[in-house]
Amino acid sequence: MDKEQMQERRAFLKQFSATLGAAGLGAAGIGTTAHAAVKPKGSIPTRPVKAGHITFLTGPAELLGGPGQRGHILAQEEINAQGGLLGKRKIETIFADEAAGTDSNVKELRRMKLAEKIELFTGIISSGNTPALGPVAEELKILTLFNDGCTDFLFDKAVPNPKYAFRVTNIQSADGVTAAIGAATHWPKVRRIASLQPDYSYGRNVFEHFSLALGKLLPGIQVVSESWPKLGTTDFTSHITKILSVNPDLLIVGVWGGDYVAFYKQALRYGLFDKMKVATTLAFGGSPHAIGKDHPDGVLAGVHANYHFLYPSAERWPINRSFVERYYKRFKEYPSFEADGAYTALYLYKQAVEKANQLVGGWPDDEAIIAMLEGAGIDAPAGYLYIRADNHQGYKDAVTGLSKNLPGYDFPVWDPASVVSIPIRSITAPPNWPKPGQGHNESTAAADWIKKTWPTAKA
Amino acid sequence: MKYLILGAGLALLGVAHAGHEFPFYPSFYPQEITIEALAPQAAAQRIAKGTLHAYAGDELAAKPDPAKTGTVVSLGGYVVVTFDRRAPQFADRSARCAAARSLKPALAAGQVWHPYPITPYHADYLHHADRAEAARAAVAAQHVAKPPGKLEIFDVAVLAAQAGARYNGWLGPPWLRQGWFHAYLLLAPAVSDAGARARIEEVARRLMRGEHRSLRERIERERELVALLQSGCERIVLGYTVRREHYGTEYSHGVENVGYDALDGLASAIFPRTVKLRDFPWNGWLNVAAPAAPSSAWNPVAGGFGGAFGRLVWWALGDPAFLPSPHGAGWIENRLSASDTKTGSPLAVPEDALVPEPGSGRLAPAGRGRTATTRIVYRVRNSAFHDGTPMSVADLLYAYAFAAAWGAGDTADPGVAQATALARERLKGVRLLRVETESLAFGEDKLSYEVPVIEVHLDAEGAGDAATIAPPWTIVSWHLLALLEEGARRGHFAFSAAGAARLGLPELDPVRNAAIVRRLGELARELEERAHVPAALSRYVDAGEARQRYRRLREFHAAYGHWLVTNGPYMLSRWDGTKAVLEVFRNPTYPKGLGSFDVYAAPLKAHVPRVERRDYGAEVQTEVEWLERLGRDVRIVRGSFAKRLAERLATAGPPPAPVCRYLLVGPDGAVVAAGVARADATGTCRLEFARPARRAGGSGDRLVLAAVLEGNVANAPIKIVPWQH
Repeated sequence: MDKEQMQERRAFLKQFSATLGAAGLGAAGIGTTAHAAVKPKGSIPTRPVKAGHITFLTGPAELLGGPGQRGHILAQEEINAQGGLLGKRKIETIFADEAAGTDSNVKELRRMKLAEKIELFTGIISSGNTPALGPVAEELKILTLFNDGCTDFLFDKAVPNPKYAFRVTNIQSADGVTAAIGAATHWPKVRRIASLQPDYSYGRNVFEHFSLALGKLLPGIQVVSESWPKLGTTDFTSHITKILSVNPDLLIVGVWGGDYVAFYKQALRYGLFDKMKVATTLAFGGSPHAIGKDHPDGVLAGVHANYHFLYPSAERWPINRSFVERYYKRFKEYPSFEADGAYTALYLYKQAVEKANQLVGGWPDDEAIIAMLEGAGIDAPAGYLYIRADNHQGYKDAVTGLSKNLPGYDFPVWDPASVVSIPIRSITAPPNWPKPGQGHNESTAAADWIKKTWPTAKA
Repeated sequence: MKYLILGAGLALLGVAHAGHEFPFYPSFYPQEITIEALAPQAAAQRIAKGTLHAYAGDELAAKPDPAKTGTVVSLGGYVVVTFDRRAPQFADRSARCAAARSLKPALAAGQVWHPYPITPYHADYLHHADRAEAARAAVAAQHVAKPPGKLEIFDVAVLAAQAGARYNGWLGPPWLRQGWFHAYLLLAPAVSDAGARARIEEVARRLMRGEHRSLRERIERERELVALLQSGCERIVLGYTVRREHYGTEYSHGVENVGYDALDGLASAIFPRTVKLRDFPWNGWLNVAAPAAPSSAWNPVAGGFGGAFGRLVWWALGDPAFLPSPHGAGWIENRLSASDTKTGSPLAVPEDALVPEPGSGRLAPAGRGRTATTRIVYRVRNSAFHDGTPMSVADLLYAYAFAAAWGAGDTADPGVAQATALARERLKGVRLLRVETESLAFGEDKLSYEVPVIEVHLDAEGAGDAATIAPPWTIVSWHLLALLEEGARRGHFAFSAAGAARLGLPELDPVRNAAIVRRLGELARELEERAHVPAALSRYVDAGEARQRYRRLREFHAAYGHWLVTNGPYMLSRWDGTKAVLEVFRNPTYPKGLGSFDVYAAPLKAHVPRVERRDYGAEVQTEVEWLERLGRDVRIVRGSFAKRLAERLATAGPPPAPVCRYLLVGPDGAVVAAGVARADATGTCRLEFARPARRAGGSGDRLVLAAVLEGNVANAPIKIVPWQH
């Protein structure tokens, strides 16, 4: 990237207060440690805190759920090694497999609460499940920290006024928008856009928000091709040849996991990556070692707008360095965004319990813990995480970067100089923005807010 | 009764509600499997280069690099000597038996000395471990290097295939994989004494009918059978061979999660249902090879698909009702679950249950007065056939009608007759109870399945194995069976190798026999034109449906050039004369998804570090194995079950407890006690058996035991402990 291009990009990003790359602008803060010791007040019981954690332990989504479970386990082991919560109450977790389906997951949550008497519920990957489990958590009055299941619908519609339910990972609409900003940052001249999305709700959500955001950022973009492979598609060649035939500047890809791997390996045979830029929302969303070394460089490799283990860099954010080292030592692999989310969730809970204890003494009840969670900030491996009080949604800077094969890793990672970090407030609807059905019929509050408030770039 | 066309639906309806994945992918990991024949040298080179992932059926030519290659070991064959009874020095039984003990040097390199017909690879080996150990030790001082008879190797897979010909999606008989049955198949034909043979047949028959009142009695009977089979020493087992098969494990180009079968190795049901390419969370192009090109017909009706090549193809295309437990004693539910079983005598068979008529295959009501000993209720996991035809109850029923029509009567096919003999003998009635709907939903994205619930009445003992005798299941559609029937009736082919030999016709091969493929094309057009419905289904199928089915079948043939249409997890995309290319059937109707069989990929074991005497019997301390993931690698870790249970960090629900299986053997070899005990939370099994009354002090007894994890009995570590009460 030459100096002029760099300046152009910085000017572009300035409107978002976003930063680019390790050498770029932006805050270089070092937060307080998440593990500062506090002396508990009052009498603390010694019985363990039972937590329930439902995530994908089998099937294709184990690619996401497995690291999430491991992040939870690491946090639990660390907290218990210090004596447990408030130095007295160790955490014991009951795991269940999310692959059993929504109905089974609802039943299992009820069982965990009513029979196992859990005090905390965490986990959940699928956005098909959080809207179903959120109301149940409210009904059962079980303090819940969803690790993912990031659909806007959870707090837009399903649980619009949550009390017990919280979520730590970025909202789904941020995914497509982050990819759009990443694409506009790195490739500001793209105009002809092609899309390859899985033919169900996720794909439609990505395409909608990506197109909306990119249309505001870059003047005169044109969607020249839409491909919607059905669930179970393994041969992407017809889609690839169709995309190549329209000669787009940029391809936005929402297929994930093994589908993405099949796609990129087939696309390599056609030289697709030499003929257009490629942006993805979830290419690097699973365990980092899941992607092979033949993955092309220079792809905008999304992490669901959440976290990649190389960012923030070890030097600039020691919390991340320490987390990555400890995670690797424990599990002999690098953490994904699900691992960071699950790990942070448990520490967020710990922090809230400690703060509540300082105020009320003894073991705090859920009201006190919830009060400490609302508006909480925590220094997490991914950076600062903030829990907004009105909707219990977690917000952290959204990130994406370009893929690169670097020595020292058996799999592709991000080019550190390419990382785009976007303040989350720049891409998510503010508090009290009308939700779908409240004066508008957009799919998400974010979509409505972008349409109404983002300026459209002029040609 | 209305018979429904069963369909499954996939509704991916979510607007912006659902999330970044639909977390169920039908069928299994590789998106494509290519199977070819390669000589061992070429296979070794290709595995080293990463262009071949697994080699089934033989050793590689070059010693594989252990850093880049994995190996699975399964039972190959029996090394057997059959004495020439005409030789005067071996006319006497005691001379033959004495000679047998001197033949250890006759074994070639790589052959394992094990002069007992049940091996550690057999699930029932525990029942014979003490005798096998004694046989291994009973080596004569004087050795004879040259065997005094014909030395042969009997491939176990071939032995089993000869006795247990497959019919459609019915595998069996239930005891097909038992060591005692293999011993019977191997040694009984060599028994010349009529009285001994009669006794052998009686004991075998009683085992097959499950005529025992306890585990101890069953084990005794098994041991008795083997003793009878060995008593004449006319054919003796010297030992066995093992099959070592290799696969690539290189970081990017290798495979992982490689399931295999203790008896069949890689060319088995579990392999395509578990194997995963390392660079793909799912999908990818798997390349496997076998030592020889396919030699037997690709016959979906009866038998067929012999040899490693054929089995690799069949187990990916075919989806039997039950799969062989790869390291266990029985069968795994696959497309059926037997959800309710009643045994007792007699049970009234409902009047409206259907009974297939021998010879015609007509499905007639059972009528009054019919009884059975066993009633099994099945839930059937149907799916579309590869030609897109939704499955119907008529397909399930026609499997019974076909078996009755071609397994009995004047025009019976001997292969179909043999493969269906047990089912036809025992079946008393079939009845559709209802059709339920099951769904797997993630938010608004939902897969729906229609699940027929069917009851089957049988004369059979024992709940578990009886479910495999005559299950309501078919791998091929009724319209394909009808097409094949027409071809057989017109003399274009026979339904089995035996039938082909008898009639002087080719065996059915709807892929590789060009003449048969062409003839079936002509017939399919004719059947479509006249909307042919088999007589047995005239009440359940109308002309419109029939015509549509044949049209779909013809369209499939037009696209793929063959008629091998099944409802399995893979379909035959092409056969070019040397390579078979199988394409994954990732159809939303297919009910098994990625990871369904992963638990069978690594046969974890339990171990017994300590056994202690107690007043009630014995206390057994166990240790268990579990898997630890390290990035892309997995390793097996061993430790105490109590510790594993206490951690409980990685499993949904408590980890499976080891199960201790034991028998107490008296000094005369009689089984004094036998049982099964599950370990408690500390990993301790409590074995309760009384001190034998007849012997104060109980000297000379031996306790034979193993701890088994997740049913993995094959090659379970066995302890034989002298036992003093």
